[in-house]
Amino acid sequence: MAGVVTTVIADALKTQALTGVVDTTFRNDMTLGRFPQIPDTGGVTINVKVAYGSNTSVGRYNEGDAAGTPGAQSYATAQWPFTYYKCVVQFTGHARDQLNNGSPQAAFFNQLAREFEYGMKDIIDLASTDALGTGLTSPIGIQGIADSAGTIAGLSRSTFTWWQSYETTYSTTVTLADLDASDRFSRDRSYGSKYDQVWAAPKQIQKLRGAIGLAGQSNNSIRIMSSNGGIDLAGNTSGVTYAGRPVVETVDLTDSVLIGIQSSDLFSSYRRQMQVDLLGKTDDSDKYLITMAIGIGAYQCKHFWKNTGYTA
Amino acid sequence: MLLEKSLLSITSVEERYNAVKNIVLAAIEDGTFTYTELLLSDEALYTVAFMVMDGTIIDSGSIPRTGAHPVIPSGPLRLVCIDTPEKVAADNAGKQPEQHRQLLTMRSSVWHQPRIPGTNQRGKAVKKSTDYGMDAMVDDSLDQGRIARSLLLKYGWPIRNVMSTNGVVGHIVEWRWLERAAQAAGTAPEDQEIRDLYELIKARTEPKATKRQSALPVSAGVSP
Repeated sequence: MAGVVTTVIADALKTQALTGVVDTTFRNDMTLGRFPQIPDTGGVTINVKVAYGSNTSVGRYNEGDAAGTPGAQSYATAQWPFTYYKCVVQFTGHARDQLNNGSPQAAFFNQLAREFEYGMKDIIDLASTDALGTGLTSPIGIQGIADSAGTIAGLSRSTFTWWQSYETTYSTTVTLADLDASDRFSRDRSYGSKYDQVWAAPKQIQKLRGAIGLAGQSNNSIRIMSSNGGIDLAGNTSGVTYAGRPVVETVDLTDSVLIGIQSSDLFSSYRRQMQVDLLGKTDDSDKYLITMAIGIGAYQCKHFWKNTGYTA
Repeated sequence: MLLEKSLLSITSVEERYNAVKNIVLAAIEDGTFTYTELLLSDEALYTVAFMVMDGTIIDSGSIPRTGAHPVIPSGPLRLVCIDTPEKVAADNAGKQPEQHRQLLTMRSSVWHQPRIPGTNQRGKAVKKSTDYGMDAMVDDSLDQGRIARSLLLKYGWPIRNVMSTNGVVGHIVEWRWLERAAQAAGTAPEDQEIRDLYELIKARTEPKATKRQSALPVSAGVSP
């Protein structure tokens, strides 16, 4: 075949791709938002004054009774640490020039800008997975907050026992009775939990759904005798709840735990918002340091509970 | 109760610390110290006692400082579980299998980093349970997290019974306390309860001795 055929248009044809770039990497960006932000008050740590015990002069009295001996609360200070995160980005002068400083005429996407954007997302991802971890010191993790042992925020749970969460270790598949036990114990007076959600990895949500039973199946309290025209009930295709509290899917949380969360007790504080600094030049390259610092913690650790060690 | 509430009328933190310290040290010295009696005291007072035992003081600004004094050793302690298979059977009667409970033992847990199957890499840290069974000498050293103390605080009998307003009853008893309480018991209903529990556990934990004693007369031709 003669004439203009595809084999001879190579010189005229532009290299084709859609503008922009698709990010295929999963980064956890849904965790830090669960820790309500409080202002940074300066100093080395986020200090929270904690009162324990009670005023033992409180009592009932009759007419004419003496006032009696005064009492007082007892106090300690929890010191929650900050964690600093960094990412280093560097462009050579040649790369910057060839990308025409990120101009869309030279590149399908502004790679210079993307390096900063994705670098910051990587920092958020690391801070998020840290926040779901077991840290008792910097970086603090929710599994460290919800624990019955160890020293966290400078307070040893062996000594200051009112800083312990209710915790039970299992080596079985989750059962409803486990949650009932944690619910009952953690809401007892000495723990005083008013937990309003349960955090679990997708695997434990699946296991819990199996333990609760799908509506209509034999191990669920609600049975639907006919599958035709079925009703969508909680525990089936809706989100899983326990005693009216949402079981919140928490990607990156260890898949063998369930944690009862009193969300109003969580906090976070940014010591340094995301910041980009150009480092001193030593050659034709531009080297940037991206930094961020955050501290997370809880006002009262005993308001959380944790079931750990679940298998299969 | 080891520490009387009147100690709370001492408003100076340092003076209260010293008063509690003197009482705790005296009890340890004369061999009458038990965690059970301590934990039946007010929370503010047993916290001070734990600070004394763990070598911790509260500095200015209410910031705890460890290593201020030598740590006072307090263990290992003999702890005994008071649950029985008969109680379990009674509790489970008439319930669905998924609602059945197991025999309560004494369990504690430590962090452990399991190997990721098929690799030599370590995964996320998880808690691994240690089961001490029904009767054990349990470590109470500070560097191991005062395991015996934590078990008694969480599941101690009658500590948890008193702390709970939700009908939770403890299932672990401190043997030294039970022995002393049973010997000192009077005629009140709670004294009888303590004595009964003591006799029950004593019988359960000494069956081998009983069998050995009965074995001798049999070999000597005497009916057991």
